[in-house]
Amino acid sequence: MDQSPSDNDNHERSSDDLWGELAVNAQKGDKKAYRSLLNEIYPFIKASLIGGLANTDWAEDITQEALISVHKSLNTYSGDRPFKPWLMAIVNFRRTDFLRKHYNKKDHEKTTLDNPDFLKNYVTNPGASGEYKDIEKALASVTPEQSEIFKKLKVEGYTAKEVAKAMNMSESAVKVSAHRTMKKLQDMLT
Amino acid sequence: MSNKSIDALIDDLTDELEPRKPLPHPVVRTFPWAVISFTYLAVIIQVSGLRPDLVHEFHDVNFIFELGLSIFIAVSAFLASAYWCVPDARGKKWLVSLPLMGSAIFIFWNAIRFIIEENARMPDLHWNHCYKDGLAMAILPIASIVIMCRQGKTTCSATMMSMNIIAITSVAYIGLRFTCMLDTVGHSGIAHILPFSIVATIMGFATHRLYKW
Repeated sequence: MDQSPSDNDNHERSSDDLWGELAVNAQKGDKKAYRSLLNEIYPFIKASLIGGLANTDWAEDITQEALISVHKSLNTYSGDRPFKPWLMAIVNFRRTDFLRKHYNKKDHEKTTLDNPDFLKNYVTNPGASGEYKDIEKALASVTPEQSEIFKKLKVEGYTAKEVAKAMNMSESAVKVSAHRTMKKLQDMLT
Repeated sequence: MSNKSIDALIDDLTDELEPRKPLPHPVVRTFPWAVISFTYLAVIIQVSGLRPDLVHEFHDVNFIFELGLSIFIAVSAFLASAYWCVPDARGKKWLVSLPLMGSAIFIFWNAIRFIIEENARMPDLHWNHCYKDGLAMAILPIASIVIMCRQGKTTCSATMMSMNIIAITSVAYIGLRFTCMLDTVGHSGIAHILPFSIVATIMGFATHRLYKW
């Protein structure tokens, strides 16, 4: 059954009142009330953050920071005031702080090959395969020998010496061939 | 992060909990600051020496208006600081508009005076005297306001620091009106307010360090 607006209001009011009471008891040193408060607000903070962040993993980090901040600033909560505005002021502050630090460090431009999201989006994503098809098409326009040298040297990772031995060519001829192929591909793909 | 580490964090925070005395109401916190600052100001004024024409000045409506406006700016800026050092500012974020409005009136008032009086002279003789007195008058109010604000946890340190600076500048300005005989706008601007603009800039750089939590 759908909740009516008044049910939601009552729920909002009751959770706010409850958290306010728990916070006042926590200020008096009641550890049980404090644990209940932290356990109650944890999912609320995370849920309030998760929709507005580019990376859902950040919500967990910011929630943790917010809980620590609640701990540090517990004395600033006043029992005669609603709890949620006080809590949300802290959460918004920590979110802004986190994002500022993150973007200042340019962390959003960094990744590693251990990052499953990066692998999924850019390495194993079939949607990105078109980019490689362009390269394959360009490689088809060079001679089979040039194509094979290029693939062995630049894709498969063999050294010029190994390729030269396999192709029965001189090392310098392999390097020249690879260089010319690279130049041709650049001209075709740009 | 796994649920386990959140649980561990909650365990740690719970273990660390000690009884905390809630921060008194901002109005209650403003009162001791006002008493300390204005008592200290009175002492420094006595040490520096009252201006000889003070009794005459108290019959001047302009002097009374400027003094009253400065007291309003100082008290409202401190009150705003006291509210803003709580994360949600107790729902009274609009309080910053009071000292800002007072400052705007002050600037407008002095701009009009500057045009009417056409007098921006600043004799060198009074430069050091006002500079030193002003800084002496501001030391204790600066210390007390920073200590008071650090008891709280602000979520907008730049705004709070702006309020701190307006409060301190106003207190020193009030003090200098009692010691300095030069009432010209030019002298007030350069000798009474400019030093605090420099102090404000230095404090501005220290904002994050002072109010980080």
